[in-house]
Amino acid sequence: MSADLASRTSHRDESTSRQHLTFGGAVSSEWIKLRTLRSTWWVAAGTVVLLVLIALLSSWTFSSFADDPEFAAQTGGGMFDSLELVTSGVSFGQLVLAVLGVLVITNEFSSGMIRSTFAADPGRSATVWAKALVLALVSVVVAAVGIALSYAVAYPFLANADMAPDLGGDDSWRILGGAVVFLVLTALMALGIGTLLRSTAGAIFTIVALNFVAPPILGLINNDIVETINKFLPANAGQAFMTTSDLASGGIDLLEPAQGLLVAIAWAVVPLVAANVVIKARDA
Amino acid sequence: MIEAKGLSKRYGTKVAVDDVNFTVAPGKVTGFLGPNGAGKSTTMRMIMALNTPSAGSVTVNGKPYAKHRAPLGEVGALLEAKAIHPGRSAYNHLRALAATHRIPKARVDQVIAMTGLESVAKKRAGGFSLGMGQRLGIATALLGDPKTLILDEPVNGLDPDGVLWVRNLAKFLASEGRTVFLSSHLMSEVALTADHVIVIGKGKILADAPVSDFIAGQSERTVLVRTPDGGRLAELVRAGGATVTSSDDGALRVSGMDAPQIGDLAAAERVALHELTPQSSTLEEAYMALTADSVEYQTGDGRPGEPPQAAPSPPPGPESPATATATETDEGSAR
Repeated sequence: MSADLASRTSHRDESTSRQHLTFGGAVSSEWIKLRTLRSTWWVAAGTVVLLVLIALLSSWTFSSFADDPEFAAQTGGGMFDSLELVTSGVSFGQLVLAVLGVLVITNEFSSGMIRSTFAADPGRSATVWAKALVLALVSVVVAAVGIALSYAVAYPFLANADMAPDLGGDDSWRILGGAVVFLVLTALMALGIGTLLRSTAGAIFTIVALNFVAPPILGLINNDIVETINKFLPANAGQAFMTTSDLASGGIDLLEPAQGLLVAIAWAVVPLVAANVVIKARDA
Repeated sequence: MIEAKGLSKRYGTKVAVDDVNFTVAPGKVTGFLGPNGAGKSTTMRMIMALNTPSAGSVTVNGKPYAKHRAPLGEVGALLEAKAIHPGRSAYNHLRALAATHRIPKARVDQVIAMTGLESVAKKRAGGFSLGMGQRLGIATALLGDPKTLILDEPVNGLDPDGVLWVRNLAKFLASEGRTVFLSSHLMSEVALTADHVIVIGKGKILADAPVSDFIAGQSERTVLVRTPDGGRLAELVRAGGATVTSSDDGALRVSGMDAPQIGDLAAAERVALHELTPQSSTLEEAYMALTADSVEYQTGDGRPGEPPQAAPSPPPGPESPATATATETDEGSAR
């Protein structure tokens, strides 16, 4: 047995110095972790399906009623930019993608995997930033595929109603690209919040409260301070850079697009930076 | 080489590890022995930089674990059986951890073969038995071909073959000059595997010695004596420098004097003896005697795979704990 073990326990020759912890190594590790869980693929597919489905429904609805005067009266005579109908799935798609961002870290806490991860990367920062990088790349692909398919699916309906979306317009790429950027930033915010809270349910609850519950509720309150706070919430900051029409903004005052982008970036980066600090101080 | 200096860990007001100093040397298997809740796992987690010490420090191969360039090449740890995502296969789990250090796929296959996981390596780890989980944990520990191995209760849940395999593996790795630090709450396991033993109880180091010395030092030899004239004999042997305790059924337990001496003394003083039996306490008893006072959970809860815990709780009394235990550990008659 000894001879057998001897030939097998040790694999290092003279080349051990090559095998050390690197950021690139941490990134490939996180990529392997992400792609080897079924939940990743379900959530990614769910995000795409939801983006496309909502784009389909809203473009079908609006194209059907575009000429209806009653409908026009209801919407205050305003109209969406047709590309905003293409990206209308973002409001729900962000939530599904946020689940992916949360799970990337909370499933390690709940399963105990985090101890294996931290034993391999006792500094822990490489893990946090590698997760962020891999999540961002996956989210870009998921969001871009989702938005591209949404465009393809919505186009026939919109073209039929003489609302064919124009990719050459001044704001076209701001709307489409903005949707992708917003989805990626939301996923990163979810990762940061998940790392801070260490709980899947707690993190998802927080994100739903922040992006779904708070904006409409604060929107009802007629107070300068509350209105300002509302502008700075991640969902409204996102609206500021990825919509152009008054209708899409829901009638509330928004930041300038560039400001909105910066605020949305801050919502992604600040929780991650805080998570990177806190995760090093906590016992695993 | 693991060196702990003044290492302490508090959780709120509870002290889990209390100002502990020890060195774990390379080239041998060091057992880390203590009852459940004694601070073994907390100590091991601090070595691995998973938990931050409240005071003191611990280094591995001269540096804190987190300061090494190749942590997996310094220490491989089995900290608990299932530090793994249940939805991921054993193979992918190992691949992901190997990737952090650019450890080649060939090494992943190697540790899978070494731990006998080939047939289940591609299955989801969530379905693994405790024994399979332990094997995967050991495979994870071996991944970086580390100089130091930390194994927390490695034989838990293993079948007899697996237990034997872990013992041989631990001894073999030590024979290669590696540091092997292995915890257990079973004295018998440590006696069979380790060269050196560190005993911990209630967060304090109770003993730190070669296993052979520990056994010799702790297994106090006693003689069981039955006589109708117990009071007189007790006086006589005490006068001869021995200590005497009496058990419930009137028998005397003498230590510090062997059976021929007691017999001669009794004959010379014309005290009738009905029984004179040398008793050697087993290793398990030695361990129980040492840790009885520091057992966290006093009731024997009949955990499977654990031998019945003889006479766990010395009644708080004026006697010293060691004497109290010796009195109570009487063929299990205390309970």
